[in-house]
Amino acid sequence: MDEKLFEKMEDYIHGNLSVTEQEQFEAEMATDEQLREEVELHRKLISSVETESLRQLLEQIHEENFESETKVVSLPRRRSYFPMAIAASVALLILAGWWIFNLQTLSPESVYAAYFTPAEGLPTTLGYSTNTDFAEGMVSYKLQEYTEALEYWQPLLEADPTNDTLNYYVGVTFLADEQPDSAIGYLTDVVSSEQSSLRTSAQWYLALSYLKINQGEKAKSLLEDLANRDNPYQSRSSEILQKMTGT
Amino acid sequence: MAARIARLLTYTDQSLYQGLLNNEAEVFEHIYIENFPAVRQQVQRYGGSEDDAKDIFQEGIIALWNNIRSGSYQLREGVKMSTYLVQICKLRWMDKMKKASHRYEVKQEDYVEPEAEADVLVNWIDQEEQQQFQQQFAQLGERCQDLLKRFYFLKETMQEIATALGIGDATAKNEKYRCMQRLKKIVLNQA
Repeated sequence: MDEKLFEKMEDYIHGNLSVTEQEQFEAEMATDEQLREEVELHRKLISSVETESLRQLLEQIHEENFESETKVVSLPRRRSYFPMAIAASVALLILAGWWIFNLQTLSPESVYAAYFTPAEGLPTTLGYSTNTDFAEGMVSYKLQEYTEALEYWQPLLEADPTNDTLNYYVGVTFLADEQPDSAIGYLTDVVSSEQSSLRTSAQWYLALSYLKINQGEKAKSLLEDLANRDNPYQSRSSEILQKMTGT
Repeated sequence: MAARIARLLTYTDQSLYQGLLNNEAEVFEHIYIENFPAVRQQVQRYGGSEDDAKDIFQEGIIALWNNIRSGSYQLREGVKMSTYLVQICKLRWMDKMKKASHRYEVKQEDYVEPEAEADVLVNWIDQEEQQQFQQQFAQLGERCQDLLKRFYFLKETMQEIATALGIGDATAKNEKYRCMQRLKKIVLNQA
């Protein structure tokens, strides 16, 4: 189903169509069984989303009001967050201590875990709307549907293998999908293309890929370069280097 | 906070009804806190556990909410909404026990089915049925779950959602479409 029909159905179900539009849509449904079924399924999905959201809300209400209680019947009251805040602060302190302790003795893989966040995607409505497959892939990427994103992008890359934007995003997608081995080839290509604006970012993610597969030495030389020139990853790179040398 | 306490004191059945129609979290919380103890007492009195009471009660709120939305529950003179809710939970629990076995003895005089309340059992969605969808929904990415919840349950507008997620309106709209397509695929694959 295309997006236009989808929006039409949404408007119909939410009662946002004008009288004429609504009559028209109902006339269409009357003759089109498939459309009728689509609308029916769509209603069901919405209702399931709502019911599931409510179920989660009720679960949360129950936990907050009745979970720790034993036998006492509770009266409606406002909970005090103060003890929780203290408990949370203590937990946070312990966690922070543990984290700092661990950073000092980190394996490359845990450095990776501490520093990796998926690369930001591009805005999907501006600029390159001429290439819809690229934009579709970008939406999938942002929705963390990495396999789907690759399905859109890999054919494009085959048609245009030296495109640095495609190489970069296919690379970071593999990395985000926890396939650093596959990411390395694509990112290396971008790093070696001197004039690419994505070169520095690619170098950062390439270093993280090496950390992820415990190839500390390879990561190190990339990070040393990043730590020595002005770029958004400079301070993080020197931080990691310090931790890796075990100060 | 003051406003919230004031509202707690001034809920009428009419405002609860409206609040449920609008999916207001505070109203659900108010109803929950006010009525769970009574339902728990009933269920435990007839051999159920604390968890049984919780399941039945949550199903009961969902049933009440569905019946309000479909129009099959109307406010009635002289019957408080909370009475109705506790009553349908009790009926449901009795019904369940009757079906399960005769392990529990149900006293005949307790088992009266006032008609309006009995209707509700026909459309009752129990935990097992919900579980299937719960698993399907969980297969969506967190971002999709959040977006769909905001739009369909919390009734936020696309503009509000776009702002909350830090994206453009058109992107938010497209993501909603993609998330629903994805959910449809998951549901149809498991049907």
